[in-house]
Amino acid sequence: MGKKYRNPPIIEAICEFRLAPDSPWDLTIPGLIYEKIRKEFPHREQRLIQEIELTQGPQGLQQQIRTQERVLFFTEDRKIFVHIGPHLLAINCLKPYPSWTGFQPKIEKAFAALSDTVEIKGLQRVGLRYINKIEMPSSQIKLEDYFEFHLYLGTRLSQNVANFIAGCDFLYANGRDQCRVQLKPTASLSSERPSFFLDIDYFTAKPNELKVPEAINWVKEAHNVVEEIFEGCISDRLRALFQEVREDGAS
Amino acid sequence: MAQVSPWVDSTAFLGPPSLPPPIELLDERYLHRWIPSFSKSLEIEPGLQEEKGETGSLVLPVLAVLKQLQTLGVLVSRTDEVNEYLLQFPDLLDIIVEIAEKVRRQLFEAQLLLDVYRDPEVEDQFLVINARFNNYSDFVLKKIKEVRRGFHEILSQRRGRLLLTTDFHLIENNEKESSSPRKGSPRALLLAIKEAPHLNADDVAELEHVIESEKLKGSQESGPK
Repeated sequence: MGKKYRNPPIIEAICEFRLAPDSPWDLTIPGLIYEKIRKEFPHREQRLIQEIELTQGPQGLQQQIRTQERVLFFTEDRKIFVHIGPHLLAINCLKPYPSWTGFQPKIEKAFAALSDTVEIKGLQRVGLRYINKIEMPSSQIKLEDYFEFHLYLGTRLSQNVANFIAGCDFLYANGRDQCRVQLKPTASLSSERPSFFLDIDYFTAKPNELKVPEAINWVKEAHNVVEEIFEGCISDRLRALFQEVREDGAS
Repeated sequence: MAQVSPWVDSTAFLGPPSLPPPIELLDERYLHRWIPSFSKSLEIEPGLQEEKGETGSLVLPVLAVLKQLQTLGVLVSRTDEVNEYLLQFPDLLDIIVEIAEKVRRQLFEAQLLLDVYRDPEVEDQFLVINARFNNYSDFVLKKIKEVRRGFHEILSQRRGRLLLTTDFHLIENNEKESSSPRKGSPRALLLAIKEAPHLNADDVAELEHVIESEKLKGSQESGPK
């Protein structure tokens, strides 16, 4: 069981299932899924998303913009929504994050509705991503005081940094899964109160290796890893800023 | 063999979908995200072939657009509210930077503030760009209307709403250090233009020329009579 915080820094959590291209898909599917989840996600919206397609032609790479229709089903407060596109189901959760016990049942419900509607031939990619925005208390900070995941700059290098990205891909499940962790400033480091994105994206790195019936268990495992990584990335000073809530209710 | 770096700041170029980043800035993760067939058409390092982009965020593109607006010198007040509005109406994402650039170009002497306007009586809300000036004349108001007309048509096709107007406040001087230019000043504008991601060298040169001549005109007008 992970730690709980009074001020969690999560700005978005996403669980995304991309189906194998040979899974059947047609325009009626979003409507059929909606019928199964409309109690939890009553508000329905259609959006056009533009995609860029690049093709290698005789004169080099050609860019083409393609418009795709996506359907979104929102909870009453519009903070959690199911996002459906061709061969894609995602569940996005905006802040305030309702804790895993609030998010997980929504993922299960949406995935069950998808499985009941479509014959899923395989899972091309599954991902669980947590994007945290962490605000520092002042501009005079040492990153290593707050993070245990950061860039190390040797003494011969300038310590006057305008921008950076610290990133690492960790391997899990014998290479079937990966977790990409990135730390980067949200804007200028010279601002009065610098803030950082701590982005943790756990995903299946090999298409179709995760079996469909194992998907929900995979999500739970992925969440455990993401939680472990998050705790591994931050120091006690940040924990104090987030204000841990103990089981007995004290903080 | 395509050289790809997995550590590219996606928020830096994951901007409006209709304004694709230059090809040389695209990294393999980005290409996979937008172009599922990319690895079939371009040779990629074998170790990276199994990657399939990243888990799609809806918040990061909004934050990237806000960052681009700030680069243009647009101040964003109440970031959380603006953020929320753009999440609700993402059909503004691909045009808002372009609109801000046009406004910046045509009202170059103004300080621009992006905010959400809420009308509590009818539960209505929309985005506003408030253009602030040091002097308000009929000419300024006419100019705002004229600039607004320039993007009326494109906005009429979107669900999200954006209004260019003014709150008649004077330009706020947020200058903290003498070395940093005052927001909305010609020097700040020149810096913003140079950093604007969608302007080519010709655009920059033309805008610099316009600003310099306006500065000259201003100093002549305020000179001894």
